[in-house]
Amino acid sequence: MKKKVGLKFALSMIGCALLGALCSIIVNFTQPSLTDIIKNLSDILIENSTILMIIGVIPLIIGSVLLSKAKSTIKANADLDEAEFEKTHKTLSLGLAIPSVIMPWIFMCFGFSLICTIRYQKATVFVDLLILLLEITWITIIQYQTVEQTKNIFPEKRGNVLDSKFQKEWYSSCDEAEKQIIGEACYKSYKTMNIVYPILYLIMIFICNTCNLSPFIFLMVGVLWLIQTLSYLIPSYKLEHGKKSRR
Amino acid sequence: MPLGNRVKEFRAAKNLNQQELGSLVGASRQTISLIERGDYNPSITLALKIAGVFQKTVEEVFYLTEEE
Repeated sequence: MKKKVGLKFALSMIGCALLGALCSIIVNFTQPSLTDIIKNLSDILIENSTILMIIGVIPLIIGSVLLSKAKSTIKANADLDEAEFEKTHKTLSLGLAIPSVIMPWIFMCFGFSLICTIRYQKATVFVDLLILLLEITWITIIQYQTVEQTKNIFPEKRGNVLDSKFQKEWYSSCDEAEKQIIGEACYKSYKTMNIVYPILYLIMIFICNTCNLSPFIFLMVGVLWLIQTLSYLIPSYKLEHGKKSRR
Repeated sequence: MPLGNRVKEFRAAKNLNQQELGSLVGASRQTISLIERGDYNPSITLALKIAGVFQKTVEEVFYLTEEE
């Protein structure tokens, strides 16, 4: 069994090395066209930052619709039966998840807008700043309302979205099953990012090299990777061996 | 080996809803629902508390099943 696993590992390493070599050859032969593709793509994103920011409104509308649906169900039935409870809880979870995804999106688009303003001396940044503020306010309202509705179906839940201690209070009001769900989701996120960071790191090295950009960009990815690794390892070591050990 | 349980059956016999049982054992309604569906294995503490509400032993409420 051990030999089989070792062989599989060795073969995957050889496969990765061959893939890397193939990519290097392709990049070497197609470098001018790849540079053009990256440049054109960047230009499209930068020039259309306002449209991209407006697209962010769609998930917010979906989130608001889901929230109002859950709200009316809770208002109509003070005592939800099991099926209604499950359905309402699902609707509220989705209503919170969809707008949350949009937060990184609008910040990315605002970044494009800033570059557009600096590069082309356009005043789009003011319009985009207005859209950014509007969308952040909208997201906060959805989050606040969703948490308040969640408290209606889970009376034991504590915390106010507008309070800086919200996450800590919310987590401490979760019971063992909910904490386990949060733990498992966090571990999946950690595992996913451990795959994403090395790939992103290589892509950044390639982009910095082909577009002649500062190595600071891939250094930032490396720092983020390091922060994520340490922010997992340090608490896990403390929980296992430290004073707050669970044993 | 998965854990089976008779929580729903005993809860109905006691005329309790999920929210009431959750309040009695210090768990959320969602957790009681997860346990009843077999999607979550409770800790020993929670299993003892649930069995205590039903005035049963833990083995009467929770049992190992052969199914995967």
